[in-house]
Amino acid sequence: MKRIKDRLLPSLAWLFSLLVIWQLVSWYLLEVKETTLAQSKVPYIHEVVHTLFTYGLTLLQEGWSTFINAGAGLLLGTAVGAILAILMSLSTWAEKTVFPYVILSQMIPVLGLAPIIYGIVHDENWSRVIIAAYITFFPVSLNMLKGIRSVSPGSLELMHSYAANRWSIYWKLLLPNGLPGLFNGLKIAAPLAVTAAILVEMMGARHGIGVIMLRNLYYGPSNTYMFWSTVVASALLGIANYLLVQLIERIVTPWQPAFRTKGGDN
Amino acid sequence: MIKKQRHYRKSALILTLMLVLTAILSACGGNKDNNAASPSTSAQASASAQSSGEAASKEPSGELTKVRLQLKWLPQTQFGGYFVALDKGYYKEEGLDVEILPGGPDIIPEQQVANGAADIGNTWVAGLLSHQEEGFPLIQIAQMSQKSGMLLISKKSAGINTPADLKGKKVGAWMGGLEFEILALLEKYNLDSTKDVTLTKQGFTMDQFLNNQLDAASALTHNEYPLVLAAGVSENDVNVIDMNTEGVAMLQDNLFANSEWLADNQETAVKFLRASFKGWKDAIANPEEATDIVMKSVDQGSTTREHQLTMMKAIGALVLPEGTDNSKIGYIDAAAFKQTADIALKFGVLKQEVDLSKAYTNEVWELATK
Amino acid sequence: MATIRYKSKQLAMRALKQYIMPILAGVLFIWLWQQQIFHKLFNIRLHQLPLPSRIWDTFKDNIELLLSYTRYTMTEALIGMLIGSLIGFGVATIATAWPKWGSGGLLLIAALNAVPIIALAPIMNLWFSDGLGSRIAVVTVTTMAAMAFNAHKGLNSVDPNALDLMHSYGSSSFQVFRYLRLTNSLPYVFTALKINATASMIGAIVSEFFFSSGGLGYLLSNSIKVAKMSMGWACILMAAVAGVIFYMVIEKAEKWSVKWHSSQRNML
Repeated sequence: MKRIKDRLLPSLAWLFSLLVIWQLVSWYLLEVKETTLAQSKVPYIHEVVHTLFTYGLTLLQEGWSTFINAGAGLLLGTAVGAILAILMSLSTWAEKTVFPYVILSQMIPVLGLAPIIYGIVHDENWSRVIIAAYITFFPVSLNMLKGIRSVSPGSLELMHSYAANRWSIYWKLLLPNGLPGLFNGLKIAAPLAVTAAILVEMMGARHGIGVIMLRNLYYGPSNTYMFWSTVVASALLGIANYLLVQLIERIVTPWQPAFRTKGGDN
Repeated sequence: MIKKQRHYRKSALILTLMLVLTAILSACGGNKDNNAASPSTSAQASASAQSSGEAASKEPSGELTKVRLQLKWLPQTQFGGYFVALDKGYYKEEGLDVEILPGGPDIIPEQQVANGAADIGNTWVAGLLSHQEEGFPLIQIAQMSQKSGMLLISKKSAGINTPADLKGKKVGAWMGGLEFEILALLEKYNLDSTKDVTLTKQGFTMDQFLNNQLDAASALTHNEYPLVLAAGVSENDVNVIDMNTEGVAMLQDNLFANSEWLADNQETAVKFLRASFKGWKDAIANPEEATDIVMKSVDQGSTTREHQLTMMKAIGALVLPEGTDNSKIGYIDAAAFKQTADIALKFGVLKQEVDLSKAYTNEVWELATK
Repeated sequence: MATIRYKSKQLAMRALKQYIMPILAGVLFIWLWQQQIFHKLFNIRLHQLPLPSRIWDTFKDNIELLLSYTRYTMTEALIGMLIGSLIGFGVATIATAWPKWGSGGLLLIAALNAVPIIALAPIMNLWFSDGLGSRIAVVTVTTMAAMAFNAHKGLNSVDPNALDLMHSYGSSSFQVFRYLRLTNSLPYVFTALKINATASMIGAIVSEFFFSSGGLGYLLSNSIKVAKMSMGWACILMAAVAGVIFYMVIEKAEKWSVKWHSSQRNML
């Protein structure tokens, strides 16, 4: 209990001081400097919170829909990313051949890709999931490959000296070694999945944070608090996804130095 | 020997992984019916449920013909007529099960309709023409707004009293096919769009104008202009240049169909137009009611009823300009269409002159209004 | 004599792996595309995905415009990525040095990273006006996360035995940081830079969709909306080439600076 309090307190202190600064800037822009569109630039927090509560139910419902979309995209993206990483670790041939094109693929914006993906799968829900996966798989793949590759040569030699076959080398040494990398990639990909889901929702979905965000942006300054509420909502979704990944990481890879309670700095 | 074996195993493993990868990817493509749990399907259900009553949407749609309409932009009273027709059951009376697909900044209706993601789309004429030139199988079947809604607005302080005053100013235009009226206006006053003015891309918010980043900004009569006024800018402080009075107007909101789809489904298209026109007549006659109907499809908190009502009235004035007979709703006027095509050709949206007979047809309109 | 032959054979193999295979794969891919195999396989129409020959023609005809826009976009991407990576590394350092007070910073970055570009673009436009600055700011925000998380991992996944050893020599925590943590984090930092190389390019391009009067993203979105698909793909081609070069430069820098690290040895 005390540990949780110890952990939470500093973060809360940060959050609080940040909010105070924000509020001060907002007040300064609006009342002292009297800039145009002051509230669109840096809105009052109490107003945003007020809107957040007024439309809390709507935001929660739409947020849930975004969360599910992000989750589906992240799962598929992780699967593709991990498989690609293993494939590339198995053979340098595969890596050298495939990898430049993996980088290249990241340069195609969704605007150019979406119609083609739709043209292939002919289903809007699936094309959304695929696009979200396409946005998330790259950091997962790169980090996991790095993890697998950074296995200590000593351990590998040991495995070889026991005449371990490839399967058990992978299962017992390389994959566990790749896991921290995988999770690191996931931490980058988790908030990114929210971005992806929102982006994809803007392509004609009827529900989700992205839909509300777009509408409020479009309807101008009179809706600025609602727009900022959706920004806050997406940020909260990002944090939720991140914490979820962190939790799973602690459960699945408890051996990582940073998590040990004994030894080293702690 | 051992090494060789290992090599085989390695290849086998790579092969398996590749298979798994393709399996995952193809599962995405193949599993079309497996999306019952996904939120957006339930959303569709609720959208049609709220509009046409619970019982109606539960009914097996055996007799109803499915038609999907792709909007160019978000659900709002700009598209009021379709929502009224859907809500009042006009489509169902014609035996149609119409689904209205919302648009957005990343949605290109022409792509959606050519792709088969929608049957009928709504876009601006210049955009349609450029897609037709690139070989998209599309054809226009109705012209909803008969006049251009495009304005170039500036604050009085910028000193733009006539279009000639634009010289040396920073002018905002929406790019991607929506800038040609502005270009034509500049040309009319002998202003070079690359030298005499700073032509700037305008985002889909009016922030740049309100924040004084632009001297003059594009605005539509039915949306951005009232938004600017709602944001606290007084009508007396704004100079307005209207593209219609300047004679550089281009046609905007239309209806077009996939020409391959149309060949087999002309009957359906006729029914769709008939019901849509009925919806539009109601919407124009009773904007208050139309606004209430549209508000049901707009999420809470994102726009005000007041703004939507202003928009409904403004779009009404474009769909049915004063003094026009309301039996002419949706008719494609040859002269206005040609002016649009000519401006598009002049400013390089099009490379060749349009074959007007292939670009649009009034046949469906005639059958629908008979 | 034998060793020389062996060596040259090895070199040839390496060249084969490094360059020839990827080029062959690319040529095959483009050939399949040109022969409309993909179009037939996936039932794509020509107007949806233009053929390479047509993209190439458009590319050649507009090379000057494309190059100047690429420079514009690259500037945004590069500056944004540098600032973003620096901030990310800074947050990771603080979170490592004062874990109790600093870990909130990582959470904040995760939160920022979840705000999509479509929301960031208008905010940054209001804050920094519609010049280069607003896009640099967007890229900064989108590149912070990868660096922060990776650097944090690298700074913290040091061998506990080495840590104990340094402590037993009475090293200060600055020395631990300088000699143990910093060197240990290098490979992680480079992974982050690689992710950011592509992320910054795509971030700059996407943010140009909204408020920009130049750059590849501006041209791309305008072209696609008026069905000039070959121009759109010429932009994508340009972005891809720039992105891959950007990535390779970082990879070379990595090879040069972390020669000692085991992920660079060919063990597998």
